[in-house]
Amino acid sequence: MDVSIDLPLIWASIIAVAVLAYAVLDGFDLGVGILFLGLSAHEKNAAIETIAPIWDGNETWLVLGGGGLYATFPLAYATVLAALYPLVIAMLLALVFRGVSIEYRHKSQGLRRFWDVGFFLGSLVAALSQGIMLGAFIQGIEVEGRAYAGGWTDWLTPFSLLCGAAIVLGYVLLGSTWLIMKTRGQMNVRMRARLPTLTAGVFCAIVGLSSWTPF
Amino acid sequence: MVGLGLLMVLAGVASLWLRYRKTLFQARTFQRYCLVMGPSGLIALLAGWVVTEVGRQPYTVYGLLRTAESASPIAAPALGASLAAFVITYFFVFGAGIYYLFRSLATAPGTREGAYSVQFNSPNVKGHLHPIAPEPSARRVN
Repeated sequence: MDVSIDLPLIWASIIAVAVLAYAVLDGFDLGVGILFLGLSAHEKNAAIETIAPIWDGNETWLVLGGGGLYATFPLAYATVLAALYPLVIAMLLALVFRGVSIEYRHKSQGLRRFWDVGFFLGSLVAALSQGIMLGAFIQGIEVEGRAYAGGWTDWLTPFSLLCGAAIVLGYVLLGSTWLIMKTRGQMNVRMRARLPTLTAGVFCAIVGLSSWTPF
Repeated sequence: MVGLGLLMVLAGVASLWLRYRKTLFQARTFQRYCLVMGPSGLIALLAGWVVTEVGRQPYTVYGLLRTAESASPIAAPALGASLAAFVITYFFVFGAGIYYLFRSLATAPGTREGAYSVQFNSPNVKGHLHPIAPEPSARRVN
């Protein structure tokens, strides 16, 4: 029996699964980072401990997605990453800063507040850049021949910025539900109270962006 | 890079010779030499990288693909900004890292046995398990 294997399809699925897994898994720990400054000192430590053993594992999905794209679809990789270059760099540096902040805040005495802000800003910038990338990708990329032909700020549109805000909102929702699952006490109660508003916000963002997409 | 490699070989051979003479632990000059050789691995690595990157110019794949043909179509301002951002971030992150590293080195190691035994035996506290601490089940507390 002749079994033909559709490698491009298989690899496209693998990359799709990796990106989805990344968005869900790193989404909640980025969400915890975005919620971080609103927590008390005790809650901050608890929140960090819930994500400490897993956040870097979650980010490995990004490596599989990016590495898979590079290895199996080099033309798409070269075009898309050239178009989204400033965003990719902003996201990577934000992830660097955020990961380092998680580790350093345990070591610091006087500068803990500084690393807390670093953790928050890193998470926020990473989430925003991912959302804006998604928006820019949906809107399309200018190609000529086999290379990217647009400018380096083509990604900056109202639609892509709204996508960025929507991703931040979605990650905050994921982060809150994670903290509800993992913690007890005041933090749990507060997160629960905020949940209906957040869910409604994310729902509106999904509906709004989906109806804007065809235009 | 090659010179550093030979100096590393020299360290290995000299240590064997001193070991054979049973004076390895008294040889101050040799010990100082090993101390100075500490960063040599990193320096050799960077030197090797510079040699390959500079040596292959103007080609990406020697004789087949020129660097100018393989460069991505990324605008100069974007590239300049990202390079600056990388330099600033890395200086900052590594600077802070080296500061915390030196501070940790200046602090004597503590066993903190007491703290762990309390955490192991308290049902409400999730302990920070120390990698070299004994298994909770193997621990007897009086």
